[in-house]
This record gives sequence, structure tokens and C-alpha cells, in this order.
Amino acid sequence: MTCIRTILFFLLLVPVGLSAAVIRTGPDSLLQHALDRAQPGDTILVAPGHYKQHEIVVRTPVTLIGESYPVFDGENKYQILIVSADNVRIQGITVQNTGRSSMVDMAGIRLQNVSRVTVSNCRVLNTTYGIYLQGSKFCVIENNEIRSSATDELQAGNGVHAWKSDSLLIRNNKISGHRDGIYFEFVTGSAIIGNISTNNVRYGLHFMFSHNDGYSRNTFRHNGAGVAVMYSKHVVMVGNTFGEHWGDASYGILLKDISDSRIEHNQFAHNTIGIFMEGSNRIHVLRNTFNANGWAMRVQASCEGNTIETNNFTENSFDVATNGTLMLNTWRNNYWDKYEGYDLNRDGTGDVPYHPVSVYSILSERIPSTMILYRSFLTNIIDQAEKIMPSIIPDQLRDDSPQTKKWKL
Amino acid sequence: MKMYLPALTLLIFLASACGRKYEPINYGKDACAHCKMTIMDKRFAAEIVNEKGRVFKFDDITCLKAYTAELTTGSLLFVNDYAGHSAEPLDATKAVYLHHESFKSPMAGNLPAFADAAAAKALQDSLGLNLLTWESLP
Repeated sequence: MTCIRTILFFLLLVPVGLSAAVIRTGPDSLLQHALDRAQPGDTILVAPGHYKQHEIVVRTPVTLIGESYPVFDGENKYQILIVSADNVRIQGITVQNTGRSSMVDMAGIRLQNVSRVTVSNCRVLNTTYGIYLQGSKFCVIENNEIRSSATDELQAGNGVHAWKSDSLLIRNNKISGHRDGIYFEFVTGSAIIGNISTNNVRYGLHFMFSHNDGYSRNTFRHNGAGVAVMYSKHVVMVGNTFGEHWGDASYGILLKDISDSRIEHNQFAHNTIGIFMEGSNRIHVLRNTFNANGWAMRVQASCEGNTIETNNFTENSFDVATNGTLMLNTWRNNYWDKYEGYDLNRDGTGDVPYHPVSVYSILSERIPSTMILYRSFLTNIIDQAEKIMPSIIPDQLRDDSPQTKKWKL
Repeated sequence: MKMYLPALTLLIFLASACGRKYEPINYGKDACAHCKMTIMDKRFAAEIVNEKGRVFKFDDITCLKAYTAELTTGSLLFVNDYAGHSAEPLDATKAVYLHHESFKSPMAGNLPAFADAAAAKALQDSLGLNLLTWESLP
């Protein structure tokens, strides 16, 4: 009996002995003191209020929870929260007004060489860099609102900035008004899911030298350009929406020196150029919708081994443009609304090939000012003549099996 | 009357020669001629004006360097002053450079340009770097 009692006693005691303390703190005391006193595993509850505290360093694995979004203010001079311990969780706080500096990348929340850190449900307002990850692994950034107003500011930083990191999950964040919404440089094996990235000055999402990453179900709207994927390999892009990117250097996706990637089930609507490809190889573009873009795709002659199939091309001014006559890519089974061929055996596939590059897209590539004649009577005649006897348009760039019915995507 | 044609030719020649100058970059709007990115960072921006007066703008000195391979001689090469002391761009061939990954330039070229060795001194000492010239750029 005593034995059982002892066991029971220990069973009850042990969890109590290990259980973490809950520390409460308010605007009158320094959060840094609470953090320094905390034991690993403790929870710190931050009371509502306005905290003029900055450069707070988290050195122990704790959970930091804000009640009704307490505000940490950097007074336009300082960085705010720096995490340098593993297994830290940060929830429900507001950080705002970091400083701006050309030498130091000022961040609202900075994760410095850590792993398994979660930042969720936070508000990051008016910061140079919103959430900055460097040398970090297995971190989760989710459900945050990251907002700044860098409409024309050159010193602006990125919303979520990741550098030399691995295995990150960036999910369901709302990001606007930064230089790049999300920026990846030397980041591998990471996923970007369900974010809404709008009104950023340069790109909604930007990859540099980042391999084996994927982004899906994100919305990119009204950015300088939607997504730029550069010098990367094995990038999977599925189910995203790209819209309203208008301007000289504006694209839905800009691909520069990319290989072995997949672009699937995306929507491109109202962009100057849907997809721009340069020096990109072995990319599979399938089941996408291109609607009402200036150019649906621009495939430069430096691209090879790409397959473009089962896409819908509707209401684009130009379907495809290219800058050379050589074409080493495969186009098949796409639906083109400008296709005027016939389908005698009614198998849903047109009987004559479709040439998606129009004469005018070639002419305007060489002489931009010819655009003034676009949609005039003269151009229609040239277009018809060219369809019968192709001479200017690259003959190899053609879809031998154009669909006569729109794909249901 | 006979003098008109040579004079006119000379005038046009001179005018075109004078006309070759740095064209200000519209940051956040202009695209890099090499990598197609929007030029945002004033500190690393660069420009080429070729012998016909055509302007190419770049967001990183690495892009400018890569592009010079495609050019004939006689082009003017400009780089922005990293320190921002001179509002005017520098002559790329006369400027001095540093190279370190902590500069984080848009295309990871990480080559800030300075007007002279004195301007680069503080950064050079703090990071312990070698001073580079146009010829010795990586």
C-alpha cells in the first residue's frame, strides 16, 4: 500500500515538478528581465499595452504569448525582437516601427541561427524587414500580418526574409508594402503555402539560389511583379493566382536560369506578361489558365526542353512571344481561343497546327513602335497571309494538337 | 555654301559625342538589362552607355560585369558610389571595390564601389578585405 502510494505520489509529483511556470509581465517591467529569469519551457504572458522596449533577445526556449496584441515599438530607431534560442514560440504580439539603416538589416522579429521556432498570429507593422530568418531550420511562420508602406521607398526591406536557411514553412501570412513580400536566398527544402502577397514594390515572392522549394495556393496581386525565380532548381509552383501586374518589367512569373521545375494549376490574369522565361530548361508547364494578359508567355530562345501542355489561353493580346527562330520546346494539347482551325473527326483536337506566335508579336519584339498599328486592318491582312504561308513566325513553335474545347481546370 | 555640309556633319558628330552621358535610373521602375530584375538598390546600381549612346541599366555590378562581355569597346561604364558621398555615378574602370557576402547586393555579387581607397578604408579595415580594382574584379 505504501508502495502504491509512493508510486502515485511520484506520478503526480513528477509532471508538476517538470511543468513550466507561467510568468506575467506588463509595460511597467522590462520583458528582457522576465526572459532572462525564465527557465526553459516557461510561458511568458505579455499583458496588453504599449511597450517602448527594443532589441529584446530571447536566449532560452520559452513561449511568448501576447494578450490582445501588446505593441512593441522600435520608435523608428531600433530592431525589436531577436531570437537566438531553439524551440521558441512567439504568438499574438505586435511589433512596429523598426529603424532604417543601410548598414544593418533592421528587422521586426529576427531568428538567428535557430531551429524549431514558431512565429504565429503576430502583427508586424511598418518595419524595414518584417521577419528575418538567418541560418535557421525547421521554423514556422504562420498567420501573421506583415504590413508596411514602402510604396516608393528604396531602403525598404522584405516582408519575410530568409537567408541560408532550410526546411521552413511560411503559411497563411498576409504581406504587403515591402520590397519583396517573401525573399529566399540560399534556402532549401521549404514550403510557402496560402499566403497573400500584395502591393510590394518589387516582387511578391523572390527566389535566389534556392533549390528544392515549393509554393502553392498563394495569391500575388498588384506587386511590381508576381514571382521571380532565379538561379534555382527543382521548384514546384502549384495552384497560385497571379494578377494585376502591369508595367515595363512586370511579370506573373519571371524565370531566369531555372531548371527541372513544375508550374501547374496556376491562374494568370491581367499581367503584362504571364510567364517570362530566359535560360530555363526542363520546366513542365501544365494545366494553367492564362486569361487577359498582354503576353501569356514569353519564351526566349535560350530556353530548351520545356513542355507546355493542357493549358487554357484566353483573351490574351498575344499568346506567345519569342526572340529567335530556334525553338527546342514542346507545345501540345493547349486550348487557344485564337485558333481558327477545324476538327473534322470531332475528337476535340484541331486538325491543323496552331502557331501561337503572331506576326505582330515578332514585329513588336524587333521594333517596339510598330505596336501603334496593332489591330489595324493592315495587320489583319498580314496575319491571315502569315497563317497560310509562315515566313516570319518561327515555324517550329507550334501546337500540333490544339484543343477545340476549353479545358475544365 | 560648300562649307555647310562638313560643318553640319561635324556638328552632328559633336552633338552625338556630347550626348553620351549617364542617364538617371528610375528606381523601382527600370529593369536590369542582364537579370531582368527591377532596380531597387541605389547602392549597387550601375549603367552602361554604349558607343551609339544606347543605355543599359543594371541592379548589381556583377550584372554590369557579365554584360561587358557582350560589348564592343568605347562604352561608358558607370557604377554608383556605395557610400553615397558623390551623387554623381563613378567611372567603373577608375573606382575601387570590396567583396564580402555581408553586403548582400541584389544579385549576390556583393561588390560595393567606392570613389577611392580612402572612401573604402573604414569598411575595408572592419571586414579585413582586399581592395579590388576593375581589372581584379572576381
